Amino acid sequence: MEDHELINLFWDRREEAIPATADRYGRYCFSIADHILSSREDSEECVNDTWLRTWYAIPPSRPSRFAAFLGKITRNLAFDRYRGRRRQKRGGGEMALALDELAECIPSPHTPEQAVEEAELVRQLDLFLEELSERDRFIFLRRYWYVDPLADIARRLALHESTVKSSLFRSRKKLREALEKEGIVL
Amino acid sequence: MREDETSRGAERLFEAMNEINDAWVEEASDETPLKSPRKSPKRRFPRRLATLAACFCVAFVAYAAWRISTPEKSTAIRETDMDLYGQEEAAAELEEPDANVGLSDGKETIAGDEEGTGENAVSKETEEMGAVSGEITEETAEASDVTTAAEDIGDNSESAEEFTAAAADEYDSLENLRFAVLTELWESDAALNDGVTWAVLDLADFPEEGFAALTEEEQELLADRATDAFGVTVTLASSGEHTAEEAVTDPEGLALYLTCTGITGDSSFTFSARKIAGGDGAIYFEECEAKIENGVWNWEAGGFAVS
Repeated sequence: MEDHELINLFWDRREEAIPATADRYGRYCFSIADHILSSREDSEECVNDTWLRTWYAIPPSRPSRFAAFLGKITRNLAFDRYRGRRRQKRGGGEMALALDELAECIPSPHTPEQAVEEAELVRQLDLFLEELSERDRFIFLRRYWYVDPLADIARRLALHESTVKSSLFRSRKKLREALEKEGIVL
Repeated sequence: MREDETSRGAERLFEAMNEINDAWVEEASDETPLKSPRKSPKRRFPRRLATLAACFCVAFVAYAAWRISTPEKSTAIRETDMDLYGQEEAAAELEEPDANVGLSDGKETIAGDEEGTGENAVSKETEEMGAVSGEITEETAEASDVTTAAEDIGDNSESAEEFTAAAADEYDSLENLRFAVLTELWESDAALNDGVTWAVLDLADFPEEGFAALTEEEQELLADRATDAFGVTVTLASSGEHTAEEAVTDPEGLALYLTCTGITGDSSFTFSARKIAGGDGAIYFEECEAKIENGVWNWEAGGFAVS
């Protein structure tokens, strides 16, 4: 079933929208959640919550890119769950590693602090991603949006893991410089 | 405290990424993988087969070059062979007519002998035959030289084993070894360097500490030495001035990669080296190993491939 057909089912408030979406995007959403949570049970719950959240979001939303729409919801839910769990104890797995790596991009708090709107940060991120080559952007997003393990990204692109690491290193460096240049302090 | 702040910053960045353009997310999704993912040479083509194919191509090109550059000589050889055959026939005829003449027309032979011309004539012809034989011998020797030269050219076609043997050498420092690898890479398949005015050196995954360390200062030194030696401007990929991808897409650019692929012991590490010149092609030194013994560094290339 195509995306627009699935969205129409949601708009028509037909319950078969959920199993049909789960059939098409279940693995995709589970993969995102599992990379963040590193827990099968939590990830499955997260994916179920995604269908529910989608049910309430459509309508009024009519996403033009359904995969990205579902991915965002799953990612947000998984990240909320991750933070909740981390409050109890510091988590491990790919998510912790990915956050540690991203920490390199945070400009020093000793620089003059400047209030930056969320929209500005997103705009900078978009500009940064636009400037990356297609391959580097793919690697960056697979790592920090989908939280894929390095080995998986390397396998997907038929590259050495070291090449993926090198690409991420350069991208993080560029992002840090871009954020510093704009005076963005997180 | 600092760690908590950094962690919060990373989380904020992670959250902010959720709001980026959906197109990026979709581009990197499972549904729409990269349009043309790069494939490693290993998967695309078995290395052994690639090496054999490369050897065959080099040998064929060398043979073709020899044939084009020495057309007269090869023709001369064929003509010499024909002359040789002709002279042998003449010599045979020279002997046989005498016998025939002797048998069929003894008078003529005797008369000739009486005049003292027949024997002289035969002697003269025998001398000429000797001279011709000498020429033939010389030309045959030349032909033999040409054949030897051709064999030499054939032998010079690079095979993986010969290359490995050639690559093995000793250096008093790791810095010199790395530079030697780069030089070897630069000089291999030199046609890729044509028209190149700048290059990016991508040094990846070398540790910052330990015996195989490659510090930022050493990286810069390596790039400077390469600039001086190769006559093109070599910049580090890590400097951010140019990326290797930019170098590959520019007709005047070239990407050089030296990548540490693993530390294999207390005194050895593995690495790969690649030279990529956009659409012109690339050369790979794969599964190389560098090790230090008694203060002396040496390295060996596990294999090489061209594409």
